[in-house]
Amino acid sequence: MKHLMERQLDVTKAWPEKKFQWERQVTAIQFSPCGKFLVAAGIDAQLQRWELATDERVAIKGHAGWVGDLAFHSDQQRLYSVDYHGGLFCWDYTEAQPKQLWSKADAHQSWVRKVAVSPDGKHVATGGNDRVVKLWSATGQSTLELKGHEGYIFSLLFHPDSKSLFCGDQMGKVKQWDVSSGKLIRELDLTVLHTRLDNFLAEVGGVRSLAYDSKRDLLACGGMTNAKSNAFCPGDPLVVLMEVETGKEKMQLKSTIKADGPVNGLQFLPDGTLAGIGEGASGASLSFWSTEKPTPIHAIKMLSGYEVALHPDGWQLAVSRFETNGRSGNGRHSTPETYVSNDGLIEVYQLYEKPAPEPAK
Amino acid sequence: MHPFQCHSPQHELSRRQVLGTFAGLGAGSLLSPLVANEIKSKQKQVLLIWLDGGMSQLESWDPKPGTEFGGPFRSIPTTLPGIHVSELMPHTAQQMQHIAVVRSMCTKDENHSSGVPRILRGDPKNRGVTYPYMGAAMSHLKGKSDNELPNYIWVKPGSGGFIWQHGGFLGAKYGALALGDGKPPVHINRPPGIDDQRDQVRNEIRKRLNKSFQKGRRSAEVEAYDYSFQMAEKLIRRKDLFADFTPKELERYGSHPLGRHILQSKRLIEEGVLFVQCHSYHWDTHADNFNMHLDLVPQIDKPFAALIEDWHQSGLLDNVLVLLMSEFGRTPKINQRLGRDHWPEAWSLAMAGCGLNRGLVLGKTTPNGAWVDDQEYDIGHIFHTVFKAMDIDPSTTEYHNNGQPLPIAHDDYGPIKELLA
Repeated sequence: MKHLMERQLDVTKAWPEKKFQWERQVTAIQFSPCGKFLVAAGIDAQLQRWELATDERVAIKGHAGWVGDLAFHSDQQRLYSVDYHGGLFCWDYTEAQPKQLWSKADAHQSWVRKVAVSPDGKHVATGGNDRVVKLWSATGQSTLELKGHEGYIFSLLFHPDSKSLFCGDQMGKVKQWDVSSGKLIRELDLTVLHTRLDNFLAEVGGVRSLAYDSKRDLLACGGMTNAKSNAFCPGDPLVVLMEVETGKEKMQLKSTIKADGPVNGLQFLPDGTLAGIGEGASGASLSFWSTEKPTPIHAIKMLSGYEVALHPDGWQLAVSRFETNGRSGNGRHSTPETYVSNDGLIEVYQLYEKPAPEPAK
Repeated sequence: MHPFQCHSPQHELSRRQVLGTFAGLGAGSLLSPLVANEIKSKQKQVLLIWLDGGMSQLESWDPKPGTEFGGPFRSIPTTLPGIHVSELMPHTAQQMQHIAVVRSMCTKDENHSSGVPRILRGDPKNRGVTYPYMGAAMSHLKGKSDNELPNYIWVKPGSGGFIWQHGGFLGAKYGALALGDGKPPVHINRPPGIDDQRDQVRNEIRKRLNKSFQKGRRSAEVEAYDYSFQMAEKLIRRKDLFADFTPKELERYGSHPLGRHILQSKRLIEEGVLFVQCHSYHWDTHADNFNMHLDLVPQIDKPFAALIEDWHQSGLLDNVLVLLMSEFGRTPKINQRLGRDHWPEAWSLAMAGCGLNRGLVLGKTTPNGAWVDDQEYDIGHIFHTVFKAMDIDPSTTEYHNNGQPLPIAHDDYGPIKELLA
């Protein structure tokens, strides 16, 4: 007990305590507000729920297509998830076998990539490939449609005051919307995160992740810049810190560990440190920035990563990353019997110095 | 005798038929437009649309939604009962009754640098020679057509020029005339200060210098340069081939590069070019495969479907073979950057026209889409099938390379019988 009272948040001492593995890559993770569960979604039509105390895993079934994202309601009862068939689902996640409360099969015309719930629990926001951000009541009544984005919606984040919503899109724009009136409050220029060269056949990049620090009114926007092609999509991972009130860029945060994909997950920690994880063809990193200088104060090299999530206790950070399962790459490297999908690995890092083992008595 | 002359009976017959036609009608240049159109309409031609890098079969012709490797896209029904394609291909889904899809291609090369030429040469057995690309082979085997246009044109992004390497052992003159960005060769427009008389004088000087340069040299490359100049000269007279597309055409085919290049290829075929290869780059989606296919596949779906529909309605599809393919497919397994890598083990291609049976889906992959489950085909089968459709019989036709007889397609394989009428 003594060490718990003395510990301090120190990302340079972060250490992995737990691992959860799934047979699919995991692209979205969240801890439940009650702190008991970790729920993941990825390249599959199921969600997976782990009970942290027991490591018991339960599949949450009902979606027809890949589940793009998930978000918890602050009532510690409801979980929302969206899928690539246009669906929005609401679950009671607390049951031994989570129960579907309701669903909207055609919430959007195409992929729904993101879902967010306002801190006050009044609004649910969804966005995806139809370029429309939709607002719903917590019970699933459609309330507003926010139109004006010119690219797919890649990221959603409510302001802590629940009055506005930040939406990042494929074309490198972040729009802040008033969720009561549906009016656009401001647009932030993050086009540095989008690349379309003359010989590209597709848009590359976009605002893949958002995190907000209310104490400093800073919005962190993650993605990559300087994409070289639309085939390998190699670029330079980048986080841009924006001063929301002025709309000015404060700083560009870069990785010191070589990677070539977008920063997909961002999270401000209780001490103001920013954690971020990105993709890489041959490696990437979990990086921690102080936000006062462009390079990380600490970085942990790991395979390609997709998302970070902070436990409500503020001491634990979950990281979802790629885990190879047999050889990947070009051509046949296994038999039909051994050719299986790659895995998703979720590691839960403790953000303080690992306590020394208790001396033997 | 030309060292690379083809001795096939089909070729000789074809030449005799053409010569006979000319003898009966007088000079080719004096053909009435009606007769010329008739001949043109009966000429068999090929349009090869090449998606360089490899389109994902799972995001196109062979969707497996809800399976381990299936990806996020749904499948949609087509005009063929029971046959589905990816939801990214709604236009093509409506033309499937005119198309044949092979879902069970299994080839050997997983690399672009060796795989592209290997596939485009039909991957014949190693005979110690470099085989010609399909377009060059067709140009040689079918002989010169009855118009003033080159036999083999390559519409491609980027730069153009004369790509003699495609000729392989047939010789440089069978190379491709590449139209960079689908545009005519540079300097197609004669400077206004040069009138016909001066231009003729310039050409005479050029020819004399060429002759002088060739003395004692006689290399295929020198011949090829002269030949490519002749081709450019012919195109200079055909500025109409490169006129702007109408808004209606661009709306129907797409104003993006692939839409424009397919339109340009269509125009060249309709004007009588024997073989057009239309190339699109950047399909090599090792990262962000699903976002990329979301943007990429519609760029082939719409113009491909429009082309098939237009040529079906005009009747041209009866004589023109359209082949849509890449050097391989993409891995079922999704990699660390949510991409798919190279997969020659089980991939798909599509063919239509030129008498091939329509509305067919041949071959089958395993439920997870990773392996061929039934009717495995090699690129050699495709070459045999294309040659047969073009009235060239690989079982009786062979190349002669300095006295060495060589098969025109892999001699362990044959045509896909289900495709041949």
